[in-house]
Amino acid sequence: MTIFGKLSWSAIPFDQPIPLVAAGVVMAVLLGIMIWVILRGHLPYLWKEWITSVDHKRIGVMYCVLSLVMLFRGFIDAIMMRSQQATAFDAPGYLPPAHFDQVFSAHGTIMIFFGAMPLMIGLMNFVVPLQLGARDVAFPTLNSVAFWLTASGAFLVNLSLVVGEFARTGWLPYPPLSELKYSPGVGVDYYLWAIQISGAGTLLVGVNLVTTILKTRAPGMSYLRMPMFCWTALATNLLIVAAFPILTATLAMLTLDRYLGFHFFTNDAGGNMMMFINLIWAWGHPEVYILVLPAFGVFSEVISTFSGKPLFGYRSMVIATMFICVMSFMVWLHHFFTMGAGGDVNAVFGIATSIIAVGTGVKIYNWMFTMYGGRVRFDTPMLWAVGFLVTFVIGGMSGVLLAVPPADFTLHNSLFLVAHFHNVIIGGVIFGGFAGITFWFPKAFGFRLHEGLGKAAFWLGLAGFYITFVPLYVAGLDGMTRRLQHYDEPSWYPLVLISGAGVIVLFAGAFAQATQLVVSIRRRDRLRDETGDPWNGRSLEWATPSPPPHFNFALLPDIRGEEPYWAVKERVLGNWAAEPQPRYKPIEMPRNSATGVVCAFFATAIGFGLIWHIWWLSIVAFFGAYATFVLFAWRDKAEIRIDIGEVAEIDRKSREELKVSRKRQDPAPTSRSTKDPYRLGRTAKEDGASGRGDAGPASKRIVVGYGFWIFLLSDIVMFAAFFAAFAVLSHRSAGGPTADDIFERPRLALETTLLLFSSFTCGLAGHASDRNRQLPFQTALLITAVLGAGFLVLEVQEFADLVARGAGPERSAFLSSFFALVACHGLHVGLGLLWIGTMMAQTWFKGFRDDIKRRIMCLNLFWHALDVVWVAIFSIVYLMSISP
Amino acid sequence: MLKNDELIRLALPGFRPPKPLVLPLRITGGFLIGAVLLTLSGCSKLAVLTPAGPAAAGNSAVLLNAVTVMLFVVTPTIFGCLFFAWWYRASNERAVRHPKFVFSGRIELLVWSLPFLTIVFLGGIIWIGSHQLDPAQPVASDKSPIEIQVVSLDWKWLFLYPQEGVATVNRLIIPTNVPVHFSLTSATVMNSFFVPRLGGMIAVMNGMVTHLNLMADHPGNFHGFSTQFSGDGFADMSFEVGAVSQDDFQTWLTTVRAGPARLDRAAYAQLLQPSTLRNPRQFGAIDGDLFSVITSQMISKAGP
Repeated sequence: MTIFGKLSWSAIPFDQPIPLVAAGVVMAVLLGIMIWVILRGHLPYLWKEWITSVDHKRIGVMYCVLSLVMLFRGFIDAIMMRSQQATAFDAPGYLPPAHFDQVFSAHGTIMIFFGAMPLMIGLMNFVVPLQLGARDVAFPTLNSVAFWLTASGAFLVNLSLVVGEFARTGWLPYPPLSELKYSPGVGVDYYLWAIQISGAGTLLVGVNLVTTILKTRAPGMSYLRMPMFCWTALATNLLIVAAFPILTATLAMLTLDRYLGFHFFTNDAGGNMMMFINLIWAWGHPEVYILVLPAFGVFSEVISTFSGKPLFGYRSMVIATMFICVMSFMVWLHHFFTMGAGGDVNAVFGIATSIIAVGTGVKIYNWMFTMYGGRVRFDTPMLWAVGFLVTFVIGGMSGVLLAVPPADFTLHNSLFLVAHFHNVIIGGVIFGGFAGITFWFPKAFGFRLHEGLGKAAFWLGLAGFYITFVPLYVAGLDGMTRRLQHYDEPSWYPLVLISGAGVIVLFAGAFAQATQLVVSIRRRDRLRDETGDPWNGRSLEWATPSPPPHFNFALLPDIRGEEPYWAVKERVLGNWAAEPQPRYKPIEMPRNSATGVVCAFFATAIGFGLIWHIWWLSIVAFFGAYATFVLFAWRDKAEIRIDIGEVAEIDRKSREELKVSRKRQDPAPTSRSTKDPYRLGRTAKEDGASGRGDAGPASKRIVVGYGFWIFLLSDIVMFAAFFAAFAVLSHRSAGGPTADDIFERPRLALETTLLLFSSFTCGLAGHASDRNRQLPFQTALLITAVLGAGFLVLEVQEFADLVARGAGPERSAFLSSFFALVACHGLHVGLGLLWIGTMMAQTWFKGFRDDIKRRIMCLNLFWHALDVVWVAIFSIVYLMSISP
Repeated sequence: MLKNDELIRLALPGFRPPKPLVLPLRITGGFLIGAVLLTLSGCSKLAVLTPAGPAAAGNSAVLLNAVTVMLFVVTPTIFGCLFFAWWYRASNERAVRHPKFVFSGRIELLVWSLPFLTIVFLGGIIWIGSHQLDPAQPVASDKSPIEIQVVSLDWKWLFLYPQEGVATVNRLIIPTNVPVHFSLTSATVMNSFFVPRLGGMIAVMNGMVTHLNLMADHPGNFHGFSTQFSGDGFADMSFEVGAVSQDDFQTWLTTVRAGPARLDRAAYAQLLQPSTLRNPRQFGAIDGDLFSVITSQMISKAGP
């Protein structure tokens, strides 16, 4: 064991020219950009305006940029795969298996986690607060942390190109192949830590956006007045909150297997690899809808805007969205029909899967009828939308076909499957992403993208997609399986060649896309959008100037119209022009913060240390990250105040610009009848009444409480995954000790008493903080900490005893699941103690400030949740598994 | 609300020649139909749709039925989308605009029930197909099935014929018109056993036994392989399947039994070493009940 763990010069692939040259080029480009930025003096601007920005619009743009870069990286992997197979008919091709296997694993991982996800999250981040009439997301700094954690994960995956290797197991590392025995290298570890770090970021996004949508809408923006995109964003983020903790838990179990010799999924000692496959798809299937639902939202906005009509069947669409959201959790088994579960199970999951197609079908028809009777303009976003409708219907059909178990028995894991999911992910998510980027680009930057090149990119993308993937459908029907480094079946060869030609067309599309960006930036003056509403849009974001000011809305819009979209905008614009002297109020916006980028720096170091077994680095970085958060919590001024004068000045300027350009554009205001039979929102009687949901953004305490509750729910889902593992493995003691042999009730009773009592004192501390009483608060919290520490000491003792008796987690799957579940709770208690200490110090030095009180409330919720989880562990693990 | 006369106008529109803008849309549509037709016309040659046994025939019949059912809904939907987009283009002066047509109970009823009824119909296919074509379901035949045990290794397939007392690697010989019952397990990582022309695939996992029933209708050579990625040698994890007449099968058994190779612990340990195999191997005798030993994970621990 050296100071650098497993890391040595041999980790750099000097003997493999392809990754080495690729890495060299990438590093040269990055270095070049950095030197250019520093020499031109852009660094302070970048640091102040982007890297440390907590503005949701900036963060959204950064997500999209990250996504585009990663989509390109993943596309290069795709080119390598297709060219390898094109040259590997009865021949070895140019990529040896060890390299080819890394390429397809990296392709899947990067495209899903760092290409498609950030693309959708970026759009949601940018658009949702604008559409809701909010000034930012609920937790702006957390938003920045989330983005930088995602970037950190992307960085680690790409680092594996140069230092070490990437996983050779596919994008979902199925055990036992991914266990230490069969994958001894650092590849799987890179995968695990990169995904854990970016997964934490994604979870934070989920919590943040759910809270934003539920609690910070503008006054009058009731749920059924929200644009469709906000609805799909809500469904997506609910799915993130509910599904990502399962991924975290599952990958943590694999990590424990690999690092500490646990037996969750190993071949020996009772491990069960089928449990991994169940758990990973319990996350993996909702993940598919996490990706595609926001794209559905984009298309709803685009089709409605470019048809010049409100969305057809709005309520139906809302129901269909939530229907898909719920159903997506009930179908995971269709990813392994071929595991031999039997007719009943396969049939039930097959039918459940195809039922999701009902929700999707409803959406397709409603989009179709949105175009019916409209005035359809074929700008680039609309082209993507129509291309999507056709492509996605085909992809959906092949999906339902795969949901028919006997068909799946012959098509599972074949290129037909590959063609299917590329059909829905490219045709749905990527088309949606490009439509969204083209649609909202003028809003973000103040000028449009070049139309001709955009159309070229669309047609090349569409044609390239079909030329690439239709042959793969056919190859799948001919029995060709996926992930083949070489093959000798002559009938597959021509299909693989055509598919390779399609990739060339796709490359031309990507080139057009890049050229479009460059050309548009160079001609930005001619493409300038002065109206703030270049597409004649229908939702609130178009009521702001392009780009919107930092605070989005000088006055929070008051939403009272009958039609949720169009009328709202008209009214807002009307107010804007009509009211000569709006009554401005000073606006408080969050200050920029380097917390996100610094914290992600430490997260990268933690991950790198863990991958290469450089333990000291991880420990130092952990305390670095902790210190970063404490520093953030310690700051006195969290917000900057924009004075009335400044708000008025900014607003006056943009209103004048708008007035001028709108006059030039001469929009014919639609006459709004007072009795509109097709209204979607509230009835006339309710109009103007301020009831529930009309009150506007909630107070900070409520917002923070909601957010923390949602985070706790996701935490409990993670525990549920560990509980599930325990339920599956509790009888797999592999000849070792069983529950009867190891649990000691007296110690347990004491542990439980300590923890229950600590919850009581923690509650007292909260009570004291409400009354601003320092001494009782400190005392109560100190007692809580002592009780918690006592609990931990007893738990550690119990673990030490068990290990000493040869009943450690490496003994059997039962003990592995027991240790993991209980230690996960213990880890929470440990972090809670750290938090309590910080809270005591902060309150002592800073007094009962409002933000500190909010944190005390969260600490209370956290500590009580730990108690609830412990009660579940105590009764399920300790009491029920002991035979009476 | 959509009125009757509007519906008629919708159904019988006097089209003008399409404008250049929308021409590409039609090309795409034509291309799609072409692709579907091409796929279907190529069916006669594609492995999955060219069954050589009852299980494969059942699977491919279900597949084609499901596609046909869905095409009835999907084709009009695609054309509807393209037609509406084209007909209501901003430049079409003949199109009647309904800018306020945003809800219709009748249409909502239709758009929910149409997919739902399709799925109900498809659900029937799924339910019956899943039960009749379950891999563990014996093939209907008056002959009693022969038993073959399959073990996936890194990266080769071991076939044990327990009743006949012979074993082969990467070559599977079966008699025609006799049901074959496979018991499958893995000595190492997960794989999936698949002979497209004979039937569906089944997962092969360590410490577990899965079951598959197949039968070959006629003599022939088929391609079999793993469909679950299992490591660097995965691409070479294929095997030949020879379906031979029952007489030829007996002759083959005699030849194998006469061979000198014996599958004992040493030979198995050698097979366990990760490697790919160019030429199939065969063993005239097997030591003990190797399959149960592998299933209970006793030998795999001695592996790599």
